[in-house]
Amino acid sequence: MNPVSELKRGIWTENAVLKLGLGLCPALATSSSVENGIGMGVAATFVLICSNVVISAMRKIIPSKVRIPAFIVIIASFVTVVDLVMAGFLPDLHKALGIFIPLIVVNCIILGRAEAYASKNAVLSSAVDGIVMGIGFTVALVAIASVREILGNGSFFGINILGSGFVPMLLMILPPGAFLAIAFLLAGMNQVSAEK
Amino acid sequence: MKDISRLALVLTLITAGSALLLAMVEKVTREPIAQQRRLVTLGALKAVLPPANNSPDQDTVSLVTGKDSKGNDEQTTFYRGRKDGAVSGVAFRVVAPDGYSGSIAVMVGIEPNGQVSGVAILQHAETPGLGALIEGESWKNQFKGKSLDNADWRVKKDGGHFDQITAATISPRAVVGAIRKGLEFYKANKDQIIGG
Amino acid sequence: MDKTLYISSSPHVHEGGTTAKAMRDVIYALLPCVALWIYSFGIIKPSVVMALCIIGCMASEAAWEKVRGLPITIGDGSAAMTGILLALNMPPNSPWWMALLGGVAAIVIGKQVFGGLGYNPFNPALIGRTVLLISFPVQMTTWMMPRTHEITSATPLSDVKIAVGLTGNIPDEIKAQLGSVLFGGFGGQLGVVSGFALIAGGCYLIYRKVITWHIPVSFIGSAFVLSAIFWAVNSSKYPSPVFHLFTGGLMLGAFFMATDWVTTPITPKGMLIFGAGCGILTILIRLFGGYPEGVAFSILLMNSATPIIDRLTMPKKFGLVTQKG
Repeated sequence: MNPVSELKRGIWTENAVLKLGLGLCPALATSSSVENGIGMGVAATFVLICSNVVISAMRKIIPSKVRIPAFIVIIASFVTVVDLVMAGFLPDLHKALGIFIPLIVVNCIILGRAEAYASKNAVLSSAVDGIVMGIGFTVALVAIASVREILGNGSFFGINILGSGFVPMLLMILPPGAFLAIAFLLAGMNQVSAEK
Repeated sequence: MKDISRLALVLTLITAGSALLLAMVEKVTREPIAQQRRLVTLGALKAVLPPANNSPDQDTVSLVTGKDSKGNDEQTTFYRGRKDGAVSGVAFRVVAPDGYSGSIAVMVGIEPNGQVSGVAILQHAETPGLGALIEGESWKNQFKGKSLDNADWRVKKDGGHFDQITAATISPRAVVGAIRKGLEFYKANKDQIIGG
Repeated sequence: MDKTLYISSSPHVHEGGTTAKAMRDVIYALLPCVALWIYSFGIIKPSVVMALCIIGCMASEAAWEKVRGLPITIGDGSAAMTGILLALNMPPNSPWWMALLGGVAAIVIGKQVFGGLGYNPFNPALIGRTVLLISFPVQMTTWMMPRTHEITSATPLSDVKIAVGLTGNIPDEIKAQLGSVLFGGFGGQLGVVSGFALIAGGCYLIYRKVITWHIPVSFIGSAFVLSAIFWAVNSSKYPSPVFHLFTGGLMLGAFFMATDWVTTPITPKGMLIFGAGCGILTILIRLFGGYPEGVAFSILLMNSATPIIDRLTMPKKFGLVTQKG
């Protein structure tokens, strides 16, 4: 297991959002600014690592007939942990991400990795899988959010970079902008992959 | 039969484990979350009230201000700021039900003589870059010093005294209308609010 | 609709029609209106806006096709026509970058991502306008009065919307101005200034057989009938049908946007349904929607219904017997 190739797998060849088309709902909804994108990415990565580790450790105990409810209970517990910790210590981010924190429970990436990877592999490699997949998700969110925040607000990470003469293109921070940004990034990635 | 009892046992163990985890996290985060909630309220109160040296969130009176859709009484909490014992201002939450997308919650601070001392937008879902500009300082500051006697509580487009926002008239109109209703209620019930 | 189509066996004579020829006809039909608008808004500014819209469309079409390695098709005039229609949907005092960006959005998002001319489900010029309207609502609703060139955010439609929202009635002064609506006395899209120039252009297109009468007639007719019903019920709250027909982008939409070949049904019955849908949606959005104007949205909505309309109205093959059981 080579960390570099694993990382490449998470960010590029099996990127959850831009290649597998998983987790599109949070990617659309929380990518209106880079800060929110990173917040969502880190929160989901944390849940992903924890759930992958626990599910992998218990993979021999959990009977396959009840594995889905078992996975969901485990994932929901970690999501609630993130929700409470964020509300207590990062209130601004918690307010900005709002309903999308509890909705990490139904983020397909997490259940998808539990089912496809963690339930069949050892603890260590499941942890690595959680890390690289989470990084890939975060990178995708940051890429989408960069496009949207720069065009739609003239700023990057909350800092105004295009000057006061720039008229922000509101479409990009509204929901249709998320679809456009994801579509063009996805098309660009496929174009690059096809040329290789 | 044996199989089913095994499934039940495993699921019970998993849910018990997650309940334990959540109970621990809740215990740790209970205080910080309550503290954050209080800070949010205090911050809004400090922004709208004239200088005070008490804790306005501890010095409150609740009055029935209307009926909800089911015909039950609706209560509003009035926070009183005091300077050396005398009431220097009152703050309370008003809700504009007619925002462009959903209702807008506003904290209004009023001096004892009925003049507005400050306005803070607590919650809204208006369009970013348009209706959301009601959160701008210069827009909120126009209410300072205005009362029912010295201003016409409508936006300029409707013949009143208050600026609308270019291309977004609905949100400012909703906020101005809600503040006016709050001022009217204060005027009619001043003795109960300050004295009670 | 019961016309029989006779097809003889080949060889057929090509009548010489090409996309480029049809586009040229559309551009000729638009010329009187374009000239009138450019004149009434002070020549220089509207000319610049129109030129930049056309440049934005043609340049982005050429650039996209170059990058994708496709044949360059800007010679067929369809990109130029998208540019002209887009300009007619924008304030004549728009900033230069908005005109360019609108052209790029119209061609890239509205047309090329779907595969170019013939594959786009939505009218590209309207996509360009909608992108701009959502992105820059302030600039897109800052109009110019014709002739006086006074800057205003008021159009007759938005005046009515605000007045009805406030008091439930249409003020008398707006009613009194109705006469000038016909000849373009109000602020508004370039394309609304004179209904008659648009009607004349539309008739030329029908005469040249570039478009058929079905969509314009059912669009305008259904808008007229629906608004007349509301007007008859309460004329102090709902404006008259004549007001609806000659304000906003209704005439421009009915003759030049809702008749786009690519994005509208091909059967005569389908065209009638399409036009009626546009007219009804336009009036409903104007009277009850959040925006004062609904022509662009209603045409785009009906564009999305085009495939199903086509399928439902496909004529039976001659002699086709439906099998029983």
